[in-house]
Amino acid sequence: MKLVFSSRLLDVHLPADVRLEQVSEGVYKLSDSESLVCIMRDGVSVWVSEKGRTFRFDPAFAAAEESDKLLRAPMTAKVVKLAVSKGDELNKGDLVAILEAMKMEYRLEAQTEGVVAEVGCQVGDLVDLGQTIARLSPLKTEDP
Amino acid sequence: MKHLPKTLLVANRAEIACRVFKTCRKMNIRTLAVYTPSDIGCSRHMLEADDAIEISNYLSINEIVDAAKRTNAQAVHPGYGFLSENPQFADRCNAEGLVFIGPSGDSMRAIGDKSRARQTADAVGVPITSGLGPFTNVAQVVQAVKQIGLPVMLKAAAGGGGKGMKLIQSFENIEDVAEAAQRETASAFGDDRLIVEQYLNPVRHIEVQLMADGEKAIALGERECSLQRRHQKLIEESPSMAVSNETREKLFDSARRIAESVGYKGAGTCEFLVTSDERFYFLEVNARLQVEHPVTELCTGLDLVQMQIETAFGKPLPAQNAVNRTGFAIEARLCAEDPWHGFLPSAGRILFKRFSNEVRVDEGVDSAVSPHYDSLIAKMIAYDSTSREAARLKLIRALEDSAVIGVATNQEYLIKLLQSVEFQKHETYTTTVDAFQTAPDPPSETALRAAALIMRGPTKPSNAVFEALGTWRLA
Repeated sequence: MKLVFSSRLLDVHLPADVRLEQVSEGVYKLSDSESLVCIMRDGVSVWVSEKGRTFRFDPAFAAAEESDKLLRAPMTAKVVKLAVSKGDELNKGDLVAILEAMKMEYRLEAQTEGVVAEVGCQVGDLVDLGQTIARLSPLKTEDP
Repeated sequence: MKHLPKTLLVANRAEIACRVFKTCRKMNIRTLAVYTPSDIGCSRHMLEADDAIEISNYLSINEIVDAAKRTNAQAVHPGYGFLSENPQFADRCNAEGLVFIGPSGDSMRAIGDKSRARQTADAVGVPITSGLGPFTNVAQVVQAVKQIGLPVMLKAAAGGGGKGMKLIQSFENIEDVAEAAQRETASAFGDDRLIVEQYLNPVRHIEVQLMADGEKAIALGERECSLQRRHQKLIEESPSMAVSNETREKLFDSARRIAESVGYKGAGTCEFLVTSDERFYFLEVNARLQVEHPVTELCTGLDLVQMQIETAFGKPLPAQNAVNRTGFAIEARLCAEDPWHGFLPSAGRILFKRFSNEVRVDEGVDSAVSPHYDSLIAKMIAYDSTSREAARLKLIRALEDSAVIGVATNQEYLIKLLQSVEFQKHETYTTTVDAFQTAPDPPSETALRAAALIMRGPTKPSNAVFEALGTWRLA
């Protein structure tokens, strides 16, 4: 599996039997390691803190494109609410969709202002990590 | 002795306000916080007080005095920074019948103002570096630099915390640097006067914690705080490994003489620069409680905030020989700043924080780091009764067992400083941090796998879920 750290694309080998076990809120242990890691989601990014070092990772799709215009599913999840339709004008921070996985809801919000150019899913869909939920195009500005 | 206050207002925020409240609770004193609207969600201090009053600014003397009077507070603790070394504030509190937990306005003027403090030290025979000022005019500053000779340090006459401090090593752009120093000190203390001092290198920063009752002063031990960036301390420890007992006693004696000569009352710190051959020079007095006071508390077993309050209400000080110092304490300041990019402050949301419970942790941040105030997130202080090395290892472990997610922090940098050969061999000088070459570690395999597993999300319900459910089934 690929992910982005510090603008570099890294390939992570995931043995099939490695699992994450939750110890307490935000605190996990890998099934093949003794050390604890703290993990938090932040939009499409994932922060991991281990042994006093904290790293922010982005999904592979964030490497090459205008990620603020393209709203992707940050995880494999079910779409429980779609708050926008094609043509809607959005401000930064407006709700676009609510996704749910493992009984945890995730609010997908516009990272920038724009017009909804495309909606890539429907309520009830199971979307994959990285699947486009919505694409924004820039707001039309009046010519001076 | 007057009766201790029933209610005490803390004219400060975040960890130091929380720290003072903690002692107040122990002493059964009702606590009153003041807070600015922008601090809601950033600082937790207003949530920990018995009552809280909104003000527009932590520098607003009128609003703070008014808040104290409206709530029948009898005492005001200024914490550090903000109004803590402002003589008008101390005078105003006392004039309004509020007990200011700190020195009088007059002794602050004599000791808190850097240029007058130097005269005070000189008058009681404590060595000082050559220096001139205060100046309000850049041309005068340049003239003074020429007179003393390069290199020099520009400093705010009015306060500490590294605000307005600039090292001058050449005459190039000197006016710009002096103006920048003036702007910084004006915005930090409402006072733009600068002093010019000879710059010594290599030196250690060693300070003496004092407590005084207006006549007599006692020394509660020294702290070495040589590891600084932008003239703000990162790591502090006690005892200093760099001074002999003889020098230590001389430092204590010098500090007491300075305090006693101005009738100092309350907690204060006398700072010195100490050379490798143990010559020392008076630097300044911080007329307040300092950030790093827990180091002294762990070595002496004393509660300095309690002593401050009791001293302000007339309780006699313990005798100097009743102060016992044992063991080794090291403090690290965990700050929201990026050590790999010039220690730039990093404000923003804190998504997650968790601190080790193996060491003392003083903190007061809520769920965000405010862009308006200091970048300190937490102080972590390790103590060991037998060795500095054990305290060092304990602090490293505690930093490794803690996590702050959401803003850049100096956590890893602190670990690397504590692991450095320089720190291990206590070869620490005020320039050590600037010269320290280090880079962040790349993510470990564990961190990468953890991120990948979370990012990939549940492809199917994991076995762990079914194991946890036992004989129950999903509805």
